[in-house]
Amino acid sequence: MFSVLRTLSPARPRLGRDASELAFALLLVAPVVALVTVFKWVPLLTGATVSLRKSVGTEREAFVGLGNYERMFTDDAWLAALVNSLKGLSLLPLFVLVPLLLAFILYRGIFGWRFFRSLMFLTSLLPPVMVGIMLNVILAGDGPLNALLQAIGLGAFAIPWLGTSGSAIWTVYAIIGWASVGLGVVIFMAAFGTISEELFDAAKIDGASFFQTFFHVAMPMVRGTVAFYGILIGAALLLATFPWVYSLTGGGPGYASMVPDFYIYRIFGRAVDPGYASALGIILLGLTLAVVLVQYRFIYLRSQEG
Amino acid sequence: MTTGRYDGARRPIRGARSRLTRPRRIGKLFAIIAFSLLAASTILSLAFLLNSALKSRGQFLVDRFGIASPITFDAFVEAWQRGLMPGSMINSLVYTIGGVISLWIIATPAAYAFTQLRFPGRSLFFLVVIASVLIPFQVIMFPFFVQLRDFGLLNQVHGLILTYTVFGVPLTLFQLAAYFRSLPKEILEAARIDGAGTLRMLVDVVIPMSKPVFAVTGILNFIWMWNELLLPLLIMSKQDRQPMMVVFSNLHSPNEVNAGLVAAGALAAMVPVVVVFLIAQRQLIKGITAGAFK
Repeated sequence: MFSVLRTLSPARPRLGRDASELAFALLLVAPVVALVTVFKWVPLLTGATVSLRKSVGTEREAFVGLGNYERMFTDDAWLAALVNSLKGLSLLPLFVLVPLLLAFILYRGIFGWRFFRSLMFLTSLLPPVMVGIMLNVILAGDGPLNALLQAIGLGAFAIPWLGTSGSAIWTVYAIIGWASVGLGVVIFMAAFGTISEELFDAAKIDGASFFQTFFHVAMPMVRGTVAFYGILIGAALLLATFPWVYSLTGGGPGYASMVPDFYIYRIFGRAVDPGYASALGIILLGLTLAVVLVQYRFIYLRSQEG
Repeated sequence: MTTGRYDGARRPIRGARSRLTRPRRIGKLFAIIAFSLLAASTILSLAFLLNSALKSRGQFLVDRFGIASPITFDAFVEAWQRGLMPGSMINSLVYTIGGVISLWIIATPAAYAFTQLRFPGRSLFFLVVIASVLIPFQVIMFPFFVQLRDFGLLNQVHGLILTYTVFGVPLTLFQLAAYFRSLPKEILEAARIDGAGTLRMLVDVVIPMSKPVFAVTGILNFIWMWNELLLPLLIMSKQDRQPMMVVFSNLHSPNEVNAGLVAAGALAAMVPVVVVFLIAQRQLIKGITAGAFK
């Protein structure tokens, strides 16, 4: 992440740097810094302290120390949400490799690649809520997908995808993957564009098959981008599932498709227990940081070697 | 190096060429079929949505999958009314365009200062802003909400725009800073030699040269702000202040039987994003991929 500081320019000669230019510079950055500090960093600290308190009915908060955190262990909905998060993270390799392979196929050129890329990219830009509503209808027990499955003889698979406990969360993740594949394709295609064509020529001369070229030439050359995208999607799977669950299942049936960020919203909105909601948020933050840092340390940094 | 496919005269053995190209051709065929299926899933889904929206309520109940005939726009009319249009669309436009402009105004001078000027704490402040992107909203949801309430910003237009600005700052600042840093130093030096002061540099030199990055940040911000659900859901409790995304998502409830209404609403809410996409596809792709290579 510190490479981000490299976007700042290197030291410049001091041309008339006096107090007024200094004040001017600080004035220019003040709004941005103030906004972020006041509305993100301070609430983070406040959230941590609030998580140590509990609202009891109409009484104001009482200090309960780690009571909220203990409560999590017996909260079935939260536990289900955590398990579902792990299920999602287990799909992370798929969420990264599928767009990578699709991008490579398009990059090597098939008929209509521009159209396919555009369509997939557009799908990833559509509002998740609306896509969710649309698919809610399409994947219903008596919806068009099941009708289609029955028509081609796969009637055994015609279940209510989002309404069955076993399949609900996996269907949600499949939808998220389907909708977001376009973003990955666009990013990876651009990454492939930075590979010198000579490498592919050499591979062809050596008689490499398509997949050999993919695994031994293309993938290694873009591993930095792959690592970066993995971090992005990993964070999104934990923090950006809200609109999908909101529109697809509402966490149900029961808690089968509950996810942490949706559950926190529920606690905040209905149960009105800000202490507990904040504690859950802290745990979610910890989980997110863990996922991001593990990926950063073991995948991204390694991708930058050699 | 031989591949064994050439005879002594370096002429390809009959059959060698087809062995090289046959797998390629079949592979490409499979690929086209696979992508077509994927494309079909999107197109058919949207087509089904449109089809449902063009049926009257009675039509839909009778025949859910057939082509709408005759085509009626009742569902759209009802969606317009139930969706509190045009108010909700105006709200969306105000919040989204307001957010985009607000970000431009606030982040541009800051990016300029971070990349072109020197001052103590420059690296630290930059890191503080950029790193804030790691803070998940759910963690700060409650204190953030309380802060907005205490500042009197709940249910206020400027409250939501401020919120959008806060959450959009890290990425926009990063993109602007990266672009400003890449500006050719010769032009900047020349302007300085011509006597341009710091402010004039920003206004008369840097900003005019930065149209591409303004386009990209504007488009990206427009899209995520238009699509945003959670923030307006929390901040705007008064119905007449809610943007399209909130109002139209409420049309879809377990009690709602009128699928045409829901479909029409969903389509209406998607339209602006599609329009922006069609206009600015190339910019978008360039903008998203610019920062992805480390």
